[in-house]
Amino acid sequence: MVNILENKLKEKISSLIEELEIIIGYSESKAPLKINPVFIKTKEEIDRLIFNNLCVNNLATYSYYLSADTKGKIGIILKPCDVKSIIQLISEELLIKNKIKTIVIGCNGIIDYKKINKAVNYQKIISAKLDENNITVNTIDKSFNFKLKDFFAQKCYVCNIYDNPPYYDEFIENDLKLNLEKKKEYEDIEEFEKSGLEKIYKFWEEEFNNCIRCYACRNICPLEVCRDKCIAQLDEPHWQSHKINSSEGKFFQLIRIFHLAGRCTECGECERVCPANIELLKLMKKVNQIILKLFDYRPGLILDMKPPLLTFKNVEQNIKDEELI
Amino acid sequence: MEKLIYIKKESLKNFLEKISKDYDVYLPIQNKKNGIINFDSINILNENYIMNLKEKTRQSLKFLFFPPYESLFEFEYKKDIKNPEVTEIALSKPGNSNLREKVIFGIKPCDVRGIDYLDLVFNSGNNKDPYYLNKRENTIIISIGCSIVYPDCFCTSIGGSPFNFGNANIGLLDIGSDLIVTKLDESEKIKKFIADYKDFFEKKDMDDETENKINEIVLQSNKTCSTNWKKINPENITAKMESTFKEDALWQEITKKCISCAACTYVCPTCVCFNIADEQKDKKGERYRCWDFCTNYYYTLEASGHNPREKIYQRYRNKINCKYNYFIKRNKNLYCVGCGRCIDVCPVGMDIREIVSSIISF
Ligand code: SF4
Ligand code: SF4
Ligand code: SF4
Ligand code: SF4
Repeated sequence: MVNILENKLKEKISSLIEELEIIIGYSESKAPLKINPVFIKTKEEIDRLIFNNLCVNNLATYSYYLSADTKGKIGIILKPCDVKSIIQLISEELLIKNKIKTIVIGCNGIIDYKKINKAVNYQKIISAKLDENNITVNTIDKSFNFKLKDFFAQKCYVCNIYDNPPYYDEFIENDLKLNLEKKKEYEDIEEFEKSGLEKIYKFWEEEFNNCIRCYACRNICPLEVCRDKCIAQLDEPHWQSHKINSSEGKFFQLIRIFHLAGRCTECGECERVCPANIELLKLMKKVNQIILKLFDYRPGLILDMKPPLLTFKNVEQNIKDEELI
Repeated sequence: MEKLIYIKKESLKNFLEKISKDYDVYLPIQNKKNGIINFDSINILNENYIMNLKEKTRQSLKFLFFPPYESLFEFEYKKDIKNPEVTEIALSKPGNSNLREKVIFGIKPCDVRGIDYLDLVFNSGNNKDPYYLNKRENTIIISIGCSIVYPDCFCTSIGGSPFNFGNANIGLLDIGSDLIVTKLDESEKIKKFIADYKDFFEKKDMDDETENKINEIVLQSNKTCSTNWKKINPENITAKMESTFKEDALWQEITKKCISCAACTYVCPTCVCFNIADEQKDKKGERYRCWDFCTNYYYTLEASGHNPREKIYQRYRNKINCKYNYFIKRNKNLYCVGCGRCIDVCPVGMDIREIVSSIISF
């Protein structure tokens, strides 16, 4: 089957490769349901590029560190939601706009492979095949066939920028459009909160029993540009204990959440990479929900808008002094 | 005729329950809620925590003998008001926590190898780590060979095999209906163990059908595993690692996507780096150790602020050299057991086989 979208992508990259020092994109992986980030420099390598519903990684992750290491311009292939990370980094003056060429591809949603893992009762998946509406996955002794529409990432069910990215240098239109039954933003968080504080606390207690403090959640995050300066790892001052256990895991996560309040674009990478399968996105979304209520602000949408926690107003419309006490 | 010792699959549950009366029994247990399998006490089994002997555990056995965090001792500064210039420090070591003997059941051969290597680090020559030994001694290891080999397994490439039981005390082979004992060590301890539970260790003459089955399984597993990667020769690979060490561009190229987290090292059965820290409040404190990882910026950060391995490729190069070079020089073996855990958990799809292959073909 000729993949029209991939052809368009390759053509576009061919026309850009001369002016770019390096391009970050997606390539095939041997591991089922996964893709590999790839860094290409030459015309010959362009053929390795792919784009499909498995391209879940947010490649904006590499932008900050790579831009410090390269002289020329960096091209990054992004989904419309990934570009929000770039916008946020630029608006926080962590990234120079002219260093990055954002090549955004119209998107018809991406598959959350952790949902599929769950649907096969966490048996190891040894191969998978994807077509337009279905996905077939094989474990060692069974074969499963699933409708794609149930396995998209949470964010896709509330997405309204899939063919209308908030910012781009190049946009490649996708003939396939996202076609999902929309959910209400933060509906899942509201549902979760109904269980009451006690249950919620117990839930997190159990989740963090498995945290090994591997920092994958921190290091994969495009906005956590602090990975080599993290207060959780400093010896002097010894802000946080280096012990690896449930309570330190939770404490570390609290630091992350507060450092990402009003910055997190909810790309979901932290939750995807967590080897302990902790539902980290729930925490991020809760904080963002509060930020939205207080400051009427969604991170990653407007290039030249100062994020509310990076600036100061004498009077905040939605914060009443008497409510703070 | 050769006598065959075996445990009937249908009596496995009873066997485990029986031994748990005399031993602390650890098994690969899957949390049904998040799917994660880890070694844990048989006592936690219930409808949400079930035994899973098929797949690899997320954490290797290192987790039990060399836990992510452990207290080394506690200390307290004491001052005598009459003698204010003298400060005494009272130390208290944690006692032997585990006096009961342990049985660890259902370990894969690659994990047994992992423990054999940990023994070389924590229990050889003058290196006797009391904290490790405290947990490692008095342990009976019962391994089950891999009748199922997954795509990220590659023990046959690094000198192991799905049925090489290393220093396990008992090795079992699963032929469906029964678990056949294919390795039994000669120690008095194991002889006694078998005698104590002789009701479960049944005996019969080896018959053709069973023999064929065993051969078929061993052959098939070895075959599958060896298609997952090529054979690595320890001597050649050390030479290659030496000759490519200074090829910075090569290392930069192959490590570009690594984000320098600890996922791969923390799940690795052989990564043993740890950090030591003191934490004190008022006059009382604790010295502890916890895992550390060489792919981490802080690992080599010096007090002056200089970092000899400032970049990710320098750190990752150390990781690979540790496993595919330095350890071989000391112990003749690769310091990787081919379990594939690092491949499984890497957030960005780094595959140690591909990395080493590109070094070999450089
Ligand atoms: S949130 Fe929108 S742009 Fe992002 S992957 Fe889902 S559908 Fe695509
Ligand atoms: S929450 Fe998950 S990804 Fe983050 S440190 Fe803990 S185990 Fe690692
Ligand atoms: S190889 Fe993967 S798991 Fe290991 S440090 Fe790099 S990104 Fe993390
Ligand atoms: S390096 Fe990877 S494959 Fe080798 S022993 Fe460690 S986790 Fe297993």
